[in-house]
Amino acid sequence: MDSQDVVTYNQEILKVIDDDKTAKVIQDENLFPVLKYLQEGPKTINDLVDIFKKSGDEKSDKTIYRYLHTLIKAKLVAKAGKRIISITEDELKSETLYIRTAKVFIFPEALKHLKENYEKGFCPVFDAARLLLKPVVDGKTLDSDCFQKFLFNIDRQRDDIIVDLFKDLDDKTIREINALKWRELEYCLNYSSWAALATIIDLKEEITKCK
Amino acid sequence: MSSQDVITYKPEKLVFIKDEKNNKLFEDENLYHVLKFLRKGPMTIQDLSDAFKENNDEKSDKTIYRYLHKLIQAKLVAKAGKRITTVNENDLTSETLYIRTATAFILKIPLAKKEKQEFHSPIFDAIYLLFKKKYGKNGNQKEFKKFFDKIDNERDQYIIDLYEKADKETMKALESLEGKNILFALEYASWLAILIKYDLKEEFEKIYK
Repeated sequence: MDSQDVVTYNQEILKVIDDDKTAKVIQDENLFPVLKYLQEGPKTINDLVDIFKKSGDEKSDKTIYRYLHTLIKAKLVAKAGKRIISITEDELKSETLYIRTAKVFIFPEALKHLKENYEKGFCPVFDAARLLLKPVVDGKTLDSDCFQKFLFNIDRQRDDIIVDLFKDLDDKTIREINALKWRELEYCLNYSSWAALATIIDLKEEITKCK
Repeated sequence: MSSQDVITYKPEKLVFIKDEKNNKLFEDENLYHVLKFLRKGPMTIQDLSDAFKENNDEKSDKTIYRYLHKLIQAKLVAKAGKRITTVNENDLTSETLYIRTATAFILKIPLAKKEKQEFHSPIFDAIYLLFKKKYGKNGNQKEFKKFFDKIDNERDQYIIDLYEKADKETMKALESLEGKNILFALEYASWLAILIKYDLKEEFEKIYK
């Protein structure tokens, strides 16, 4: 039996997930493994059935089809193309291949704060952070308006930074990022955005302005 | 009937949960509810049973006892003391009170493991590679991981310290937030504290020559 994969879908490197609904789909315990297995490349339903079996978690093709359907609706997975299989001289079979719409999915959580609080002009989370920082700034209380503006500003920048940081990655970096588990990826995004922020803004100086 | 609570256990303020097993316990919906109910203060099994009932989720005493046992074994809950109740002149009951071992738990996965002076951390490796693009090719990955592990540990310590030092005004602001948002506030505060202390730009320039 000879077979060949034909992929016609153009996969993106990075996709930013900024709505709660899609973020929930990614975190779903059943759907997450499907996304993980698809990291290695386009797969058919039969491929996925085999991988699930090997990992000790048997799923029927109907179930997997249902998972894929949910993922396609959330635009996290797409039909990539077909696997053409020659069975005999007279018989040809074709199976659908599925692919992730992007190699890396990221979810800037900061964006969410911003949306909820920007119009109000006051974020209670930021205010709690301001009060917590008292011992760090020699017991002084930072100015509330100034600090709110400062954090709204860096929150927005962190989202841009993360998108920028994930642009044009080489294959090695993409492989390392994709090998991370869900929660590890969250830490990776969080830490790199804070670190990147610190390399472009002098945070110490900005905070001093709010004293 | 008059009753009085006697508490002999003193809980911590903030504790990090870093091992996988205890992290998993928080994923258990029932155990999570018990921990949530106990935020209000020490409770007896009867109190907890009422709290579940109010949630339209009736549980038997035996079941609640089993939950508490699991949480005690994981050191997330402790026996706090006793509730003494006078029923009549000749009848006194005492019930065990249960308490969270800390006012706040912070879940965290282990980010790096140290083996023979070297740090193993897929997360820090990924971050190293992400910044490599920006800073050029000749970075010292070992140094990077060492430095990141250091600031990560210091950040955890800041979270504990800042929470412990929080005055009344600060605690009031924290208490008005929902669970996950308390963590965000601590995250912002601790990162800013770290970034006030360290000039990351300078540190990175040393690491990526």
